[in-house]
Amino acid sequence: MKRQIPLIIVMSLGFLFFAHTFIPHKFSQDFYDWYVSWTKAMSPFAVILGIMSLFMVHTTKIQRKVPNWQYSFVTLGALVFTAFAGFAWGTNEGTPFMWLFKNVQMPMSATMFSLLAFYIASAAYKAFRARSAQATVLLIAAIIVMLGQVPLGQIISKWIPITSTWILNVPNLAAKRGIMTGVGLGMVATSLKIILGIERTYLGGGD
Amino acid sequence: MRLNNRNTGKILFFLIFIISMLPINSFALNDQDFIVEDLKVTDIPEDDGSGLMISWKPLLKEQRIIEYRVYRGTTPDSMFFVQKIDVNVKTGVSGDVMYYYDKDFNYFLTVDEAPGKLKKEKGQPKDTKLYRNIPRDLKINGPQLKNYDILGVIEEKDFYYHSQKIEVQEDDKTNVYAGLKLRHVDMYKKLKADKEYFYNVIAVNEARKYFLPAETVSGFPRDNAPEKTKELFAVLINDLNKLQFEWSLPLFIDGIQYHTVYYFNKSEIEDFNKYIEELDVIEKNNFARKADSTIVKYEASCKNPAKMIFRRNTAYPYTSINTGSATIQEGKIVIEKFGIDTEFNSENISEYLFVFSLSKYSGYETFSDPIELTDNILSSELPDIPPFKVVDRKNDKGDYNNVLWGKPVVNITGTSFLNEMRTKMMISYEYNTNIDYKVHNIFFEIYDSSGNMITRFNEYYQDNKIIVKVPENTDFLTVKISFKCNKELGDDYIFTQNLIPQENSNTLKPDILMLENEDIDAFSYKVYKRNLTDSEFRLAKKMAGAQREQDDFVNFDNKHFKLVGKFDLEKGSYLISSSFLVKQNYENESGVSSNLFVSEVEKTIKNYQDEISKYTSQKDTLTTEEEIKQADETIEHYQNEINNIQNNPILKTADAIKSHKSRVKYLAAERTKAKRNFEYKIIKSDGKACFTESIVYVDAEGNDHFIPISNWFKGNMLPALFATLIFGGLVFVMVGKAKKGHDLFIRPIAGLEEIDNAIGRATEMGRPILFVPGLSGISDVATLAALAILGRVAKKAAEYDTRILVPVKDYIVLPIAQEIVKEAHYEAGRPDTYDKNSVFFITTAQFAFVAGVNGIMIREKTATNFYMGMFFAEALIMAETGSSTGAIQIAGTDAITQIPFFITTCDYTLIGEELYAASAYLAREPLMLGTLKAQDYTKFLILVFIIVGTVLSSAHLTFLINSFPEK
Repeated sequence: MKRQIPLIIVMSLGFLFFAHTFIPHKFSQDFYDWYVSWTKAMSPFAVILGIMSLFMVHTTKIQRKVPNWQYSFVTLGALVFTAFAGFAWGTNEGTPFMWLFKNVQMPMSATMFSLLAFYIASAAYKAFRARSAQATVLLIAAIIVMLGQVPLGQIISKWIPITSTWILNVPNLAAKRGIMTGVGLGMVATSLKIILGIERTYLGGGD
Repeated sequence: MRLNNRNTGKILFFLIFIISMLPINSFALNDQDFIVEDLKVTDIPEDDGSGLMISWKPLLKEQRIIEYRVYRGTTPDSMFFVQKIDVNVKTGVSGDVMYYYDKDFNYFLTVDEAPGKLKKEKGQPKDTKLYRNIPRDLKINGPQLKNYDILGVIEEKDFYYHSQKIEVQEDDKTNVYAGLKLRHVDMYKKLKADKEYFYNVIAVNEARKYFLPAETVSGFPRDNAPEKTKELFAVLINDLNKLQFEWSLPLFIDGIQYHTVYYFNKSEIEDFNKYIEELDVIEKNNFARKADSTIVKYEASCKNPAKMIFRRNTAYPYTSINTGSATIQEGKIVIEKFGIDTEFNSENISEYLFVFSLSKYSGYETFSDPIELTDNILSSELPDIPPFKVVDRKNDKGDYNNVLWGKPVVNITGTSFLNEMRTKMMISYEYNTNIDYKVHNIFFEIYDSSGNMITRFNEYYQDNKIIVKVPENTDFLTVKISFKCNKELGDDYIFTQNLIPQENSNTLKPDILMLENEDIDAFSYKVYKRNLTDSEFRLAKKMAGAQREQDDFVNFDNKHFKLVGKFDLEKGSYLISSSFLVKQNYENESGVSSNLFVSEVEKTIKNYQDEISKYTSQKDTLTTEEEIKQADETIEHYQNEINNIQNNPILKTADAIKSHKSRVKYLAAERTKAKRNFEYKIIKSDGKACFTESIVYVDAEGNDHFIPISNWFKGNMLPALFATLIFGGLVFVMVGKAKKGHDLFIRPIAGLEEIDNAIGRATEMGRPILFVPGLSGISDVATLAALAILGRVAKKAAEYDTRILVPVKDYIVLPIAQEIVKEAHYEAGRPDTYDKNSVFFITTAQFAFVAGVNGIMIREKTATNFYMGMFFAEALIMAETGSSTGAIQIAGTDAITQIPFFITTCDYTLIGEELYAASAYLAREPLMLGTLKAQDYTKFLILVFIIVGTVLSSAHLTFLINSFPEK
């Protein structure tokens, strides 16, 4: 029963929402809206699970005094203090919660994001090394596209922006669309496998 | 960084530094400097008496104010929070004065937003007069109802099925109301004219310190005369002896009852001006008398010389029609409904001035500036209005009617030369059509300035641009455009548009679009509609001259709007009228109304009968003919009302229903039907009174009202359904084949082939495996695919007794991933090695999650990293860090923008669909492989369609392309 009931729910709702895609009737739309409002109610309970998991992982680290266990205090302290700030003073502009968000979390996130620029340079170096004929084609295409995006390309030759646009609009777009077609079919196939009960891994376990 | 005592000290120092940065310096501020100054309340001019303007001088930018909070009350002793006005703390307020307009219906009380109890405002002294929002407590909000005009917005089902019958003794009479709880009524308030309201404003700084209020001020909203209409046009259609008018609509429409047009002789202009001046004096005198009762009422002495020639009720609260006409017959204009019977000599029209007025229910009237006749034309000069029709829009929920008119229109929107020689030109165009005309081809004929044809272009697939060759340095072209449609358009249906030189640009500019002699953009179409509960037509939409259809939204949601003025403390209810309008009765120009409670219907009939008896008995005592006539009219009115109630088929049927619930259900259905049943008409106008008005559309079956139908199938989704069924069918066939033992060849996928080796490597090195199941939620199919792979990888890891770490970003994914890993350990026969904490939640913040994952990679020195599912900008940061730790990395994603990053930094990458194939590939089960094979065959079919479609389109055969929906 532990598996059958979830399977029945998934199969019946799967077919219902498949039908909903093709049925614009008010009855179908109202049912969908009603269902979506219920799914929203699930979120708060899942948040509790997430927080519990975080607490368990870090309290275990503290109890076992694993290497760097002191960092877990910082994590838990930040979690408790931020939550407390939100509950005590609200989340409006000017509250300690918003101050923490603006002056701690946002700069830290921005720092992580800014690392991306350096990683892109490193990845580009790896990708554009002309080690084979394919990599050489990639290198040439990349140089043309990059030059095509800046005024220098136009100065060197009027063909560079044209070729750059062609590369982006023809071979690049064709490849993208090919991948998207495959992804679309893959999604349908996975959905179908789940609806028909062929794929049951999400229930826990392989079968 | 290893944490020792020294490092721990550093962290503590850092935390103390952060806390010290908190804006606690605000405690040392002088509160007196933060009291707002110059707080004033003034009446909003030209409104319906429900608006006040509150103004004050904003504090300095240096004072770091983040918001101003406005409070209002009907006494200076208690004021409730009304609205906050946010301020950008960095820029401050740019002007010298800040305003808050307390006008129209806005929030008063709702169960979601109102606090439970009365609370004093934060940071105020104990004896403060400022309170937060009006609370839900009926003892407090109930007495406030009388101070405002309160509009209750009630859901249909709440009004019909949750209303309680409440009897109230008023003036020796027992009145019945529908009582509703607060959870059933959302209340919105409007200020009452001539009532005093008190206001105060406080400032709040960025530390959320609430400062002290200013001196309380008060003001009276006054019902003013409406604003002056800015534009009026009057045109005489000479051969029809008809006057046409068009005017601009005012900004404030509240309280306006009539749109009226007058005329007077030019010689009477002085009298008219005096009359206008006197209206102004009367208004000012009214206001002065309200402020000071000792002031004597001004007695009007001037008479309006202007004579009424047109009047119409407005469609308030909707946008009214802004055109009107009056036919002159035998030297007179007669409109019986408004008692208009005015002499009008069209021979002397040049001697006349026309004036438009807006008049209010309260009696105020404002006139526009008088104008002379704008134009004197013949009916042949009026625009031709194309035939139009109204149909139900297909494939929808039943909330749109489609209004369509005319034949397709195409116009050139821009041009650009594609080479320096200016011999290659791209012409951008757009076309508008409707469901009656399916455009197959658009033909562009291009002529030079001498009239010689340069080229003819057949646009068989309409992508809104064509590229043509033109002579060198062309600076003028004429383009003639025609269509080939599913219906014959006529040989003369050709659009002409010149392309002319454009200043400061080397492109050619499209000139006006002409169809024969008509400038298409000179006219606009206004679609008007009226449902069975409206008394007047209202504007549905104004459309440009090139448009050919309009989808008119017809709402399912029919809330009840009721005035809330009373409450019952004992029953905890708000009292509203229990009667409601079911539909209009256009025959006797009255509404067909009923009541939630049958007893009230009977009581109403009895009241009308009593009135008839009263007037009948009074008639014998009346002496003048006028009094007798008035009494007769009143008797007739009440008799009509009784007949209406007793003979109206809807009310008759309703009253025959015994069950209360069934009766109300029937009436509700009839009301909904009336609300959704619309009739339509179109006005084509040049905006200056040269217009043609259609009659109300009547279809072939004689229907003049149209209700949209809720459809059971989206016809445009048929190809998608067909394709899905084919795919589903192929899955069944292939699964069947696989079950029978047919060998289904699956292309080797390197990334998946290497999974075993990667896990083996981690086992050999004695280091953990990291599996990141993407950053999106469980509703993303990529996450489901990733979890399927997680199951296989976790099982293999459990078999090899290797630790697997699964950090999760989405808390709904967390328990599922935990369950999958746990089950994998059980299947591998190693439940003892399962550690619940190996699948854990980090955070929902994207880059914080990445920081966490990177930390794990570096600290745990993971030997193998799997990135499966949906990834965004963080993909490269994770994969590069993994690469730098020397881990073997396998990624799989359907995020096209992230695939290149994974390819460059990971050892193996599953591209797009391979992610979805992975589970089947790893399982090697017939059922799974069947779906994979079906996927391959479907791709083959798609490829066939792409090739055939390309070939057919190249041969100008577009039926295959057009048979697929665009989205």
